[in-house]
Parts: sequence; structure tokens; C-alpha cells
Amino acid sequence: MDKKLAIQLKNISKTFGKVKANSNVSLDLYEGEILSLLGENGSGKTSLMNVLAGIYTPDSGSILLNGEKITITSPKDAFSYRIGMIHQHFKLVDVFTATENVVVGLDNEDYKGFRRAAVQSEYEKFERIKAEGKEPTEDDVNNYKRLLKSTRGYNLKESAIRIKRICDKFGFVLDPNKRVCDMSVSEKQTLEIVKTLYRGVDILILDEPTAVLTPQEIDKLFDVLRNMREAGKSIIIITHKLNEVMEISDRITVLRKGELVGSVNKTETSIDELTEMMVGKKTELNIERSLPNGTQSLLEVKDLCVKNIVGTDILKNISFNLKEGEILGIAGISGNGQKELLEAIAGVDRISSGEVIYHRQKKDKPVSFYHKSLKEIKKLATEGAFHNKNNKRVSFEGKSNKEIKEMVNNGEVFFNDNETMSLKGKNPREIRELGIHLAFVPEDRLGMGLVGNMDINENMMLRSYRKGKGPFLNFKKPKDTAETIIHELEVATPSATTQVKKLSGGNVQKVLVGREIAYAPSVFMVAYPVRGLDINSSYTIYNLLNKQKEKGVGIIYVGEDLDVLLALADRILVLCNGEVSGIVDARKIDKRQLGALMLGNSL
Amino acid sequence: MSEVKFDQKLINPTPRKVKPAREKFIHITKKLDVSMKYKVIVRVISIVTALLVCALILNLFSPGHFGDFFSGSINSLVGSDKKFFNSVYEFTLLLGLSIAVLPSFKMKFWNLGGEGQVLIGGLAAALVSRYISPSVPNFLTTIIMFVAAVVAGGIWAAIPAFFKAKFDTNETLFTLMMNYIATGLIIFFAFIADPSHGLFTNLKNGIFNFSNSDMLIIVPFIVVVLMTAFMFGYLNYTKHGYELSVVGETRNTAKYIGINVKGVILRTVIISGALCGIIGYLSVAKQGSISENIMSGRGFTAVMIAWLGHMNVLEIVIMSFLVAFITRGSGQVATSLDLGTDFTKITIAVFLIVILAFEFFLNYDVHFNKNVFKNKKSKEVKE
Amino acid sequence: MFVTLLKEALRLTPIFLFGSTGETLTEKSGHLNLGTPGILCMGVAGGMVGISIYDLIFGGFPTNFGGALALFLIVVFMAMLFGALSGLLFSFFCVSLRCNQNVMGLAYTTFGIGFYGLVFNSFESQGKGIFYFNEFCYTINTLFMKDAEATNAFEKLFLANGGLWYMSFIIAIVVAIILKRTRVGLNIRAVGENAGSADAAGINVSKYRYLTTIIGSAISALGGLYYFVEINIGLLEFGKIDTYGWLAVALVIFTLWKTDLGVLGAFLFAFLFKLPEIYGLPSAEFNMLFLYLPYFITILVLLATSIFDRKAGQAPGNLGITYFREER
Repeated sequence: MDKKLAIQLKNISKTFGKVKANSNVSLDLYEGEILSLLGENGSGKTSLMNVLAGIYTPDSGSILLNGEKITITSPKDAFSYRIGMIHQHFKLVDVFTATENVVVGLDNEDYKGFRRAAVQSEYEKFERIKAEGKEPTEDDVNNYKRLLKSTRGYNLKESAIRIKRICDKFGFVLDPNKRVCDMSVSEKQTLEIVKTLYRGVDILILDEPTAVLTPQEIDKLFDVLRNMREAGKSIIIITHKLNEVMEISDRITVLRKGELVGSVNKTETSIDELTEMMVGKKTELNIERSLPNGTQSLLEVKDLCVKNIVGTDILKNISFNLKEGEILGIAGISGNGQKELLEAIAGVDRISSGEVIYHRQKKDKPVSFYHKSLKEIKKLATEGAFHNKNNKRVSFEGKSNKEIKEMVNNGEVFFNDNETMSLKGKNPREIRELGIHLAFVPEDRLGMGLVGNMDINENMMLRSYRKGKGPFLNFKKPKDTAETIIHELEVATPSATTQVKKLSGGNVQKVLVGREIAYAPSVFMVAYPVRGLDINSSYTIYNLLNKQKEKGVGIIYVGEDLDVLLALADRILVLCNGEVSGIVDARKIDKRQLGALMLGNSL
Repeated sequence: MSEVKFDQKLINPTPRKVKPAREKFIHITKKLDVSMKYKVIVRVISIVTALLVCALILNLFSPGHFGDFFSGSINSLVGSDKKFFNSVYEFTLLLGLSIAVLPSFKMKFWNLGGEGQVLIGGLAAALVSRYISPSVPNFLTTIIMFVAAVVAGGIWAAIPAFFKAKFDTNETLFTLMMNYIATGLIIFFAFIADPSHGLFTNLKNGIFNFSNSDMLIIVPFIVVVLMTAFMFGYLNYTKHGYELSVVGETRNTAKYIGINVKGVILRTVIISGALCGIIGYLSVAKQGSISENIMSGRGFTAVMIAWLGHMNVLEIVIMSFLVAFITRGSGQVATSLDLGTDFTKITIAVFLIVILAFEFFLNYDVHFNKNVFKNKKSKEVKE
Repeated sequence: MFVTLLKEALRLTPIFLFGSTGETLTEKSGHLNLGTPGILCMGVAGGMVGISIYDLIFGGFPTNFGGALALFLIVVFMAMLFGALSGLLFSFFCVSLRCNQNVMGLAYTTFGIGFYGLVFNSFESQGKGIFYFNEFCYTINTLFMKDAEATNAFEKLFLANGGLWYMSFIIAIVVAIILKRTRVGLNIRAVGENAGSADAAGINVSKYRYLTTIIGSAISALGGLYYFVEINIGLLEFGKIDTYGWLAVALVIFTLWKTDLGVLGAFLFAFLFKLPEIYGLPSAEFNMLFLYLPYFITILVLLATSIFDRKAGQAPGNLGITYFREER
């Protein structure tokens, strides 16, 4: 079958400072196909598509339509060529309603996509009526005439009616009068798609559309995309998830480090081949998950509630406990309270009610028979008994009473001394001053975890600048820490005095994670630690987390990639609308069940 | 029943057409790495350009006097001992005020109230001087004046800072309105102190008293130099300085590491206000009088100097010097050419605006797309 | 006495109203223009230049209605032109060169204050002093005024005003309607809320910011002109006009970025301004302090707005932030 070219990119190059985002990349897109643009984070997929959508001006290269060169210098130009892009961070105005967001930026609504969609569906309807040998009713005709009315004016009610028609045609559910700030992530995505369709887009680019959706929502999205393909539209999906690539696309174009690796038809390739194209060399990447090695509870959260500034509940009655040496995964559609939960525990956010209790284990409590009976000591031992020399766990099982007595009398065995402390109402500094090492890698790295305008050394000081007496800062220690982290985590930076904001995403993350690990945490909370990282860096981070786990650190891991969550975590807590919709064993659950919990359905 | 016609254009959409290419001639990209050398070069060019533009403006209002701007400025600087000391005093005031507002700016607290804080500090000092018993020794009076000025300036600054910390009240306008109220208070107390004229002059107690009148300028100069040194250390080497820069960069990071954001805001702005109070004290102790005009708009200028000096103490010293140079110079030139005192304001503003414009070259790269002209030419040839 | 107060307050209202209407329009597109006080001064300068241009062309005072109208139009045009040029300069710096808006605004305010003083100075040195402008301004002033001998309170309050007085209210309402009920208004609001989203929706962010700032500044400049022509009738009172400019900026916050509310807000500000002037205190010293009541009230207004509008949902989301598309 002859396929018609929709658009071509020829030898596109784009650099940012010294970083080459794209060098000489070419790409063909045919009409009525779904093309996956595959590559690791940082491989230049988004930059390339931003060129096509008019956000970036390329340094060199050209865009061809019907073999002729066209110039796209702004998103408006892109729309005039019927190209629309849905960015990973949605480009919506929060305080506007759905309708306002759709019509904003249009000079008029004549001959735009909605009219084509609407007139086409009316045409089909009239043809159907004719085929049945009937006459259209007056209502039908009036309805149609209303559509043809000039749309130069500004009338949001009329626009809302037109939006409804597009939704009906492609099968979307959208409330035109809902404000964006009240919408869920998938509603926002729907709105973005409707917005581009309303502008009559024939080429639709979606940047990581599935990153924030549940498996169920992904199915729905893919159905819509297939519908659109049937309607003759061309779709480009930017992604790094191989199973989705195999599910939805017709062709796949792979980028690596800003360069084109090649394009293949889906039917002629396999996941293995794609992995190799994407990563370069065949690498053995797997997460080695060990069994949790402790039984002691480390952190206990009871009926935790958090309100936002307006006073609505963000978190409602969250209860769970975190044990030492385990990874507790937290799953949920983004914006369902993950951020607030971590911030509440870390003392950044105010807790409106409930408790956060930290159990400090001192493995150094001596016991004698003067105070306790043998029975009591045996009971204590089940909670934890340790050898005085190497701090290793001592088991009394299989030991005779005499042996036990001897060990205790010789002072060889120490017992757990469980001290509980409430973290409620304490800020991070106060928590630190209690001697609790609570490390936290927040979602917003440069906006919360680090200061972009400061260099690596100064960022190291964030946790420790208060140490030492007197009013002056100590510059020596942070410098050493910075050197260690740059060396051990292989941070690519000109020097330790480089501003953090100038580093690439992966390196920024290494600096942040490195600093928090250097803090020698007993509880370690991480939010989306691999967002924006390439595969190798991601696995470096997973391994670091697993090492911490083996040391007995309790880890809370908020993630969006369900496959990783299932492979990394021991237990998974699912959040939905600020409530716990389930705490499950990660070894005994699958992705779809997690998705159901994320949507608030019970298993 | 009317016949329904369908627009075929809509049912079968027209193919997308290639429109004539219109590339942009200028393309701007963000500058990622700036070397020290480049920074210095841009700065020097910007300062030279700014001076030339000021001279051009003089030439516009008073044709034929382009060169007078430079000769007049230099003359105002070193023309005579008196001129030199006046220039030093202008520099002292500007530098002191810029250094005083610096910590609040570094914290991104737009303190436009430096002027009011100076006035209130000065007023407190003046009131002490006016109403203290003459039997108190002079050095003790001046110390009390100093303390009163520092406390008053600090309190005056603390008011907007408190509401900024507590309710996030817009500090730009709040501090600005506080300036007007400070003016009102000075006029009010002047009428209390001198009901007939409303002039707060001829203060005696605790006023600097040197046999050599040039010494009057040297005391404020030394105090401001000490203030500058203190601020350099405070911002770069202390825990307080570190905290306030974190608060200025991102509030969330400050919260994340447990900095008491409200406390830091209050503390920093009070320090700002207290330093402004010192300037007020120096002014009163030097002149032996106070009026609402002692700062005459220098509050704004100091803000701009702090910002254009990139919050860097050394750059601020240089900028203060240049602005003082221009202020004195254009003042003298305007007087000699009968242009009125407002000419000074224009030159200061133009000088700062030109330097501001050159900031662009520190942050962005400009690329020119020469193809635009080539394409046009080739098309013309075709046609 | 109360009618006098109302009358005086209504007479003062347009300064604040022009200023805040112009500034609101500018701020709605995301530009925080602290140069507004300077732009008001530029309006005064424009008025002076306009008058001298008329004098140059027609040589002397207008004698008939047509001449007076021409004078009015030239003066308004010149003031708006000076304002628009200020807006253009501001936009060039803050849109094209992406300078810090606060610093640019402050520098421009300093410039404006100096500029109108300098212009007045150069007119004065040509022998065109206070009396020269006074005569012309009086003519402009009475152009649209119903007979000055107004009898009842209503006529005194609402009919005995110059043309600019009526313009201020009309412009405020028109701007409110444009912002609320038109496509252009929707686009302006989108640019001010989230420039990145507006850009992605196909709006030319730079164009919108340039246009709103230029038009907004032209409107603000009329505030200065009004003060010069209709309140002070050609007199200059240094140090006053920029103060009004700052209050106009504060008024924008108080009226939650709505120019129709601005009408009420401006009247309230004017009322508070005139209150201590008209109802003086018995003690002269305390009356001095009483004159500063409006500034104190402005602080209270800022406080009240910040306390009761905790959501901060009213200010445009990208206010004061310059936009660069190719941000990485």
C-alpha cells in the first residue's frame, strides 16, 4: 500500500550551550500511522518534537511538507500546518475553564477542526437519514444551520457546545465548565487532546502520555489514539516504555544521545532488538531484591490528616508503619497526596491531625537476672537481642537455659531499647536535633531539595550548615562530602564549584541522592528518584537504595513506573484521593490490580 | 423545507499548503557558561556606553556641551577640596544605603523603604539630641543617639517584614508607603520642636564637632566602610548569611531543611533597617539638622545599585562610586548650564537603564540568520 | 461641606482611575510596571509639549469651540504618545531584552520624575512659565463643562467636569469589558496567567505584552495629564504626581485586578485623600500628620487584601516573570 508522507524532518541539529540535544536527526511521518519515538531520557526526543511544534528553533536542518521546505517559528505556525503537541507538563491555564482553555489563542473559530469534525458527523447523519428514505426533521436542519453560523464572535456557551461535539465524535468525557485546577491528570490530558483537535490538528505529538496514567487509563487513551488513526491522523508518541511501543505503534524510530539510531516497523522487530538500539550495548539490568532483614517497626503513621491552604483535606486518615530494612513503595496517580505525605512526615508540611511516631532502637540495653526473670528475658530476645562485640543478632532458640544465663551474666548480650518519639509538629531542623536522620529526596529537585543557583559545595551544606559552634560557616566538611559524591557516583561536572542548575538532570539527582545518603539516614524517603534519568543511572539509584535497605534503613519510595515499583518494593501502599486504598505485598500483586487500587476500586 | 447544502471544503479538508518561508532574522538563545573575562568586558562596555548616553542627553538639552559632561564630572570630583569631600559624602551615602538594603534584596525582599528607615533613624537621633539634658556628656549623647537610630530604623523595617512573613503582604508598596509616613512624622515633630517654622535644625547635643570641617565627612565614611566590611563577612561567611540566601533562592528549600523562614525574614529586614538607621544617625550627627529631604530619592537609587551590582559587595562599591560620580557631575553641569536639579535624576536613571540593558548580553546569546536576506534576494531574482 | 468633600473627591478620582486602569491592563499580561509613577509624570510632560505645539501651529489661545477641541485632542494625543513611548521602552527592555521588571520600573520612575521637571524647566527658561500653561489648561478644562454656575448638587458633582474626567470612567469600563468579554481579553489573561501555555496555544506572547503595556501606559499617562490640566490647571506641584502614581499601583492590588472595581476603589482613595484636607484637625501639628492618612489607609488596604485573599488567586500567575520560550 502506498503511504503518503505527512511530514519530514531532515538533518535537524539543536544545541543548548555545549550540550548537543540533537545532531543530524531525520524522521519521516506517514499519514494515518502511529509512530513511536523511542529513546532513553536525555536522548533528545522531546527537543526534536519541540522543533516540530515550533517551541525550539533548530540550529540547522529543515522540515519538509510535500517535499517543500517549510518554516515553523512558533506554535502558531505549527497549528497552521495542523501540527499539535501535548507536552509532558501540560500547557493549560489553571484558573481557566476547559472551554476557555480550548478557545484561547484562536482569532476566530471558522474552518477550524471543530467545524470539520462537526460537519463531517452531520453529513454522515444526513446521509444515514437519506439512506433510510426519510427526510431530515426541522430540528436537524436548524441544528446544522447553527453550526454553520459564523464563529468569529466570542461566545463561550456556543464554543462549549462545539467542544461537546468533538468529544462525542471521538469518545471523550469532558466537562466544558470545569476549571483546570479542579481536574485530575487524565482529565487534563483529555482536555489537551480536545484542544488540539479543536484546532484541526492532523499531526498529533504526545510527550510521555502514559507516564501519569494507570493501566486502565492507558487502555482508554490507546483506544482514542486508534480512533484518531482510523480518521486518518498521524500520531507521534514519545516514550521509553517498550511494552507500550509494541502495543500501540506501527513504526518505531529510535534516538540515542541525540542521534538517530534507526527506524523499524513494529512487525519486524522485538523488544530485545529495540532495547539494544535504545541503550547501545546489551546490558544486564535487573533489580536484586533481597528479603527485608528486620522486623522492628521504624516509623509509625497513625490517622494522618493534612489540609491545604484553603482548608480542604489533602490526606485523610493515613495509617501505616515502616519497618527497618524494607522498601515501602507508594503508588498512586500523581497529585493524590504522595507529595504531601512525604512532606508531612519530613516536617515540611503541617499535620492537621494524627501522629507520626519514630521508634529509635538502641541495641545497647544490658539486662540482668536481678531485674528480670528468664521468661521475661526470652520474651525480650524475640524483639531483638544483640551480641556486644559485633552487634549481630543473637538467637536464643535452640539454646539451653544454662547457656542463656551464662551469656546474659557475662554481659555478652544486649537488648533492644525501644524509644518512641513523636515527629508531629516538628520542623526538619527539630527532627534533626532529636538525632533522627530522616533523609528525603523530594520530587522537586531544584525547587526544594537543592538550590539551583548555588554550587555543589554550598548545596552540601544545606543539611549540615548549622553544625559547629559560633556564627561562622564551616566550608571544609561540605567540600569533602562533595568530592566524595562526585567521585563515587561519577557526577559529570566541571568542578565542585559549578552551579547545580547547570548540571544535567541525572547529575542533579546524583548530587541530591548522594547528599542524602551521606547523611547516614535511618529513614530514607525518595520521590520519583529516576525521573529524567537514563537507564544506567536509574539502575545505579535502585542499587544504592537496595544497599541502604540491606543496612537496615527503612525506605519509602514514591514511584510512577509500576513495573519498577513491583520489582523494587517489598510492600506497596496505594494512595487514591488522599486515602489509603490498599497496602499490598509487592511480590503477590500484578500491575492491573495496582491500577485498580489507584483508581479507588477494591481488589 | 430548505435544502441542506454541505460545504465540500469541510468534508474533504484541503491539503495543507506550503506557505512562503519567513524565517526570523534574530534568534536568541540562553547563555549557559559565562567566563569572568566576558563579564568584565561586558560591564566595562556597558559603563562606557552609559556615560556616553548621559553625555548625549546633556547635548540634547543643551547643544554643544557633549564634552562638558565629562570635564564637569571630573571637575566636580577633584576640582577643589570641598568638591572632593562632597563627592566622598555622596559616595558614602549611596554606598551605605546600598549596603543597608543589600541583605533584604539578597533575600528577595523588595525593600523600597530604605529612605523611610533612614528618616526614622535620623528622627530618633534628632529627638534624642533635641530633648536630652545638655549636662549629659557629648560622647554619651552621641552613643544614645546612635542606639536610638538603630532601634528606630530596625523597628520601622520590622513592621512590613512582620506582615510579609505572616500574611505575605506586598512589601514593595508597604515599604514605600512607610516612606511617606516617615516624612509625615518628621514634619510633625519638626512642628512640635519648632512650632513657628517647623524646621528641625540647630541641634547641638551629640553632634560631631571637629575643628577641621572635613573630618565631618571622614567619620561617616569610616563607618560606612566598616559597615561594608561587616556586610561582606555577614553574607559570605556566616550561618545567617547562608540562611538568608537560601530563603531568597527558594522558600521551599528553606522549609525543607527546617529554616525558620519567618524568623529569617524578620531578622534580615531588621538588620537592613538598623543599618539604614545608622545612615540616618550619621546624617543628623554631621548636619546637626534633619528634614524630610535628606535622602532625596537615594533610596530607589540604592535599590537599583544593589540589584545591578548582582548583590555582590565589591560590584556594589564600584557601582556606588560611579553613580556618585554621575550625580555630582551632572548636578554641577546642570547648575552651570541652568538645567535645574532634575537633570541629575535623568542622568542617574539613564545610566542605570543602559547598564540594565547590557545585562541581556550576560544572559543571552544573539544569533543572526543571514539566510533570511539570501532567500529574499533569490526570490526576487526568480520573479 | 460634605458636598464639597464629595465634589473634591470625585475631582481627584480620575488620577487614580487612569493610573490603575492602565496598570491593571499591563499587569493582566504579566508585566509589573513600577514605572507607572514616572509614566504619570510623562503624561504631564506630554501635556506641556502638546500645548506648546498647539501654540506653535495656531499661535495663541483658541478662541472658538473648534480651536479648543483641537487643543484638547492635541494635548490628549501628546500625553498618550509620551505614555505609549514609555510603554514601548518598558516592553523593549522587559520583553525583548528580558530585564528585571522591578528594576526597570524604578529606574523609569526616576527618569519620569526628572524628565517632566526638566521639560518644565526648559519651557520656563523660554519664558513660558506657569501662567502660560494656566490659560491654555483653563480653556481645555471648560470645553465640555456645563455652565460653571451649577445649581444643584447633582450638576455640581457630575456635570461640572472637563472632558478627561468623563474619559477616565469610560476607559475603565471599556477595559473591564474587553478583559472580561472578548477574545483579546481572554488571550491577555492567558498570557498573564501562564505565558508558556499561552504560547503553546498559539498566542504571540511578546506581541500581547508589548501591546498591553503600550496601551496601558498611554492610559496611565492620561492620569498625569488630568492632574496637570483639570486639577492644577497648569500648575506644577513637584513631588505630588509620582505619589499619586504609587497609590494607583496600590489600587490595582486593592481592586483585585478588576478595572470596574477600580472605579469604586479610585473614588475611595480620592475620598480618603480629601478627607483630611477638607475636615482639618483643630491642632495644626496633628493636622500635618492627618494629611498622611491616605498612606496609612493604603497600608491597611494592602494588609486587608493579603489577609482576606489568602489564596492569592487574584494576581495574574506570571506577574513579574519574563518569558523565554527556549527555556530548557
